Amino acid sequence: MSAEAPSLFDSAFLAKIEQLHLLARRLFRGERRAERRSRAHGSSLEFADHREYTPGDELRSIDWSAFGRLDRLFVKLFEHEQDLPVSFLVDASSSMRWQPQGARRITKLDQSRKLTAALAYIALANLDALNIHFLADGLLSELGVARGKAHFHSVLEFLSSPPAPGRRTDLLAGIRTFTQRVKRRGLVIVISDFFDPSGFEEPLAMLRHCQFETHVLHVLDAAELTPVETGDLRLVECETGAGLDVTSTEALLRRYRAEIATFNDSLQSFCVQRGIGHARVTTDMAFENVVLRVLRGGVMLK
Amino acid sequence: MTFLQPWAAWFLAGLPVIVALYFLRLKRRSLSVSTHLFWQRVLGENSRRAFFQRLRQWLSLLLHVLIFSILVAALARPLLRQAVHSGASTVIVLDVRARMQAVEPDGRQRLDKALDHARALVRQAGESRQFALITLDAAPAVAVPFSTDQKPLLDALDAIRPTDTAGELPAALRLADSLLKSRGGDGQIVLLSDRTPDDPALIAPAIATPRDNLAITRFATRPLPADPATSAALIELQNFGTTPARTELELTLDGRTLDVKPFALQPGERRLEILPGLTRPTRAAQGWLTARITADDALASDNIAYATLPPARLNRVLLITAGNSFLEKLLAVDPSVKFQLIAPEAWQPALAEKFEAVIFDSTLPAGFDFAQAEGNFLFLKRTPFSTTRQLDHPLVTGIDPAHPATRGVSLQNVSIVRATALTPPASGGWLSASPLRSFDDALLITGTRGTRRFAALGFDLLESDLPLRVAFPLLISNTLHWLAGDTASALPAAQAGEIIPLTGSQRAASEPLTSAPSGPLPAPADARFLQPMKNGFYAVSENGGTRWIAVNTFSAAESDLRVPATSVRASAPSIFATGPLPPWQWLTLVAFALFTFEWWLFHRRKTE
Repeated sequence: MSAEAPSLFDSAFLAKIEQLHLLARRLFRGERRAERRSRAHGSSLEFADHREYTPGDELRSIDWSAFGRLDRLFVKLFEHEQDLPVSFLVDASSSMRWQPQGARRITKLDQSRKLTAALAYIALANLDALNIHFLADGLLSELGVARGKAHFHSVLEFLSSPPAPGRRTDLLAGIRTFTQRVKRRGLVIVISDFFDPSGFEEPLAMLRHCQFETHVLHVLDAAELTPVETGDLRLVECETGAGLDVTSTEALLRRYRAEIATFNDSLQSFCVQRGIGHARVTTDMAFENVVLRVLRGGVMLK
Repeated sequence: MTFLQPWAAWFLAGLPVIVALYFLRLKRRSLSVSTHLFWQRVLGENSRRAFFQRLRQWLSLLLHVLIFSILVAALARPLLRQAVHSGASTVIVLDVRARMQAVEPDGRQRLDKALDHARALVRQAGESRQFALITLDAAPAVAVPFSTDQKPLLDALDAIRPTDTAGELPAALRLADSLLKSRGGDGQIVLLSDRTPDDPALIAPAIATPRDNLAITRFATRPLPADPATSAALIELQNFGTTPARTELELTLDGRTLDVKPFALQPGERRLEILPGLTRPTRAAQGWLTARITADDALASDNIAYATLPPARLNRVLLITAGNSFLEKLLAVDPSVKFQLIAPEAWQPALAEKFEAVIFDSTLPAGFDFAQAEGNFLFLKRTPFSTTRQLDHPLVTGIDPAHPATRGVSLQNVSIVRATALTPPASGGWLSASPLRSFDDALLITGTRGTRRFAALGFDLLESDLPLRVAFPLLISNTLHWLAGDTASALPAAQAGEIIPLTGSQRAASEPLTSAPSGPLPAPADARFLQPMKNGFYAVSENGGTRWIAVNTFSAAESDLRVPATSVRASAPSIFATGPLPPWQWLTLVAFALFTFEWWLFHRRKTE
């Protein structure tokens, strides 16, 4: 665990996660169950259907009661219980580590990791098959499939050790690798600022195309939404180190704010149109509120 | 368009600096951002308007260059030719003659009022209005030539002091006219005087009202021929008022009252009075004779008059002659002379030291060496300066009336049988003069060298009818007094403003005294002439001694303060009207407006 772990995932954080878990169970009792059933017939205790006996079926699966009533051999079919694959794709590019000069807020990556930890705890508690990936200009590292709350420690350890900084954002490359590597379809939660010069449409469309149930957590810093710096500036992009000379004025800032609002709206409408869950998060928001909002949106609790 | 300060164009060399500074990159503040994505989109939108963006940049540069150029143009002080030619060129003629010291009923001097008018006028000086200042005292003089700058004009006005001189106003107006003719465009003359001619072209603010005045218009002394130790004084009083005036005349000599005499004068009356029996003072006294009338009138300077009473002097004269009854009798009757007669054989060079003057009449002792001889000599007929050129019946064609020896001497129709042409000594450092001439030949020559003097007459008195003429005793007396160093008559009383030439050894004080000095005398000025501007006694020092010149105004024109009302006209309003701003001020305002506009554009980010 890195040096920043105590401040990011301290005991207060863990207590909040536990409270969130209990709160979630109470809020969604009766309409949501912790276990997921697949339509595939399996060996659980839940009866699903009958079918006629065919040679080779196990004799213990024959419904002898039905044979007594109908004089025909039927095999009892039981529902197959399976865990839900939940994957978190956490953007760990340099833009996610950016912080406005002089600000004392957490970074977008910190907020993402907190959200991931909280949602991961809930997923583990629901016995989902949890995996976490860091991505930037590709798929960087993964936690590995984990089930049960016992693995939460490893989750925290993984989240506390993000990849080294200095990487650009290339969502398409990361998601393409993800879809190629992960064959089992499930829930994918993409946590990113989506500041990808190549655009966000193709990566998200790819996830949908591969039949992943996709949710987007759009993480932004408040300073990105409403910058206030005016004057003759040299804007240095944290990912590339490239400079851009700007004479910032109120008029220019207005146009900037309109531009980023358009971007946000386009991301949201893109998600809505394609059935992708969407939530926008800023670094100054309390993460527990964000988690509840995400859960209310139906993520993981189905 | 003309520029009053064309050197300001050198500042245009700074234009490339402005352009260079404009193209220098700004030192921008570095700011880290998460992405350029949206900034590039925003700037991309701007770049779609690149043409206007470039236009803004050039507009900024253009404005800066324009503002700088306008400021340089303002510094060069441009002036429209139309303004130069059609602008008022004004000549102020300021009267500082004696009469301007008259006090008006409000208690202020006329000169002070005139100065107030003048200051109000010159404060309007500017590029489109130029002023010249002429002062009129004894003679008109241009105090300040045409100037658009108020400062030299105001400084000149502040330096003006009243004078006791009389002067001619037409001469000042002619000078003003000639000044105006040197300028193009409109011109006008503003006359600041208490009395102006009825000339419609003149602008003359009213600064005077008619005033009564009682004045001393003449005061002089002369020794009585019968008693050289006694002098008589002539004094003239005149009432320039409209009412009868009574006054008392007080006569003082060196501060001691000699006489007090009452006078009553009718309006316009002039009274001449001779005061005889004034005992000439001793040589130790100053000889200041002052006449003062007790009159509470408008002009105080003509209530007092000054004259000198030369100290009596008895000159010792040695006459060396074989016999000249005319000369002997003349010297015998001259009370200012104590003479001794000796034969030519009795002459000893050491005798000269005991006499103020030595007369060699038709004789020159053998072995007499003029260059080595000490003393002051008058040579008659036989002189060391005689030439071989004999003149038969020479005519007197030239007399220097200013020379002390021939002052007041008239030699018209004097018959001279023969004479010898004289040649002044060419060596020895003598300062020679020829006050009596017959065409090109000198009949009388004089010379001075330090304290030594000589005079030489080139003919025999007995071979002319000069001894029978009135001029004879005067010529001999003048010459002996001059030889004795008595030059009291050489510097007569003068009028204020009169130019008195000084010889090389004379030094005169530039300021007068009106009462006995308690300390040392004022330091004399090293000048070749004296022009006294105030009444009083002026010290003239020469060869260690001091003599006094009495200076007075003595001008009925200056004392007559009854100003004809018709000659005073109100001032033209145009001269006092406020004119438009000069071009340089307009340019400065335009530059300021452009600067404000540029500032607004910059802060609105219309320019970069």
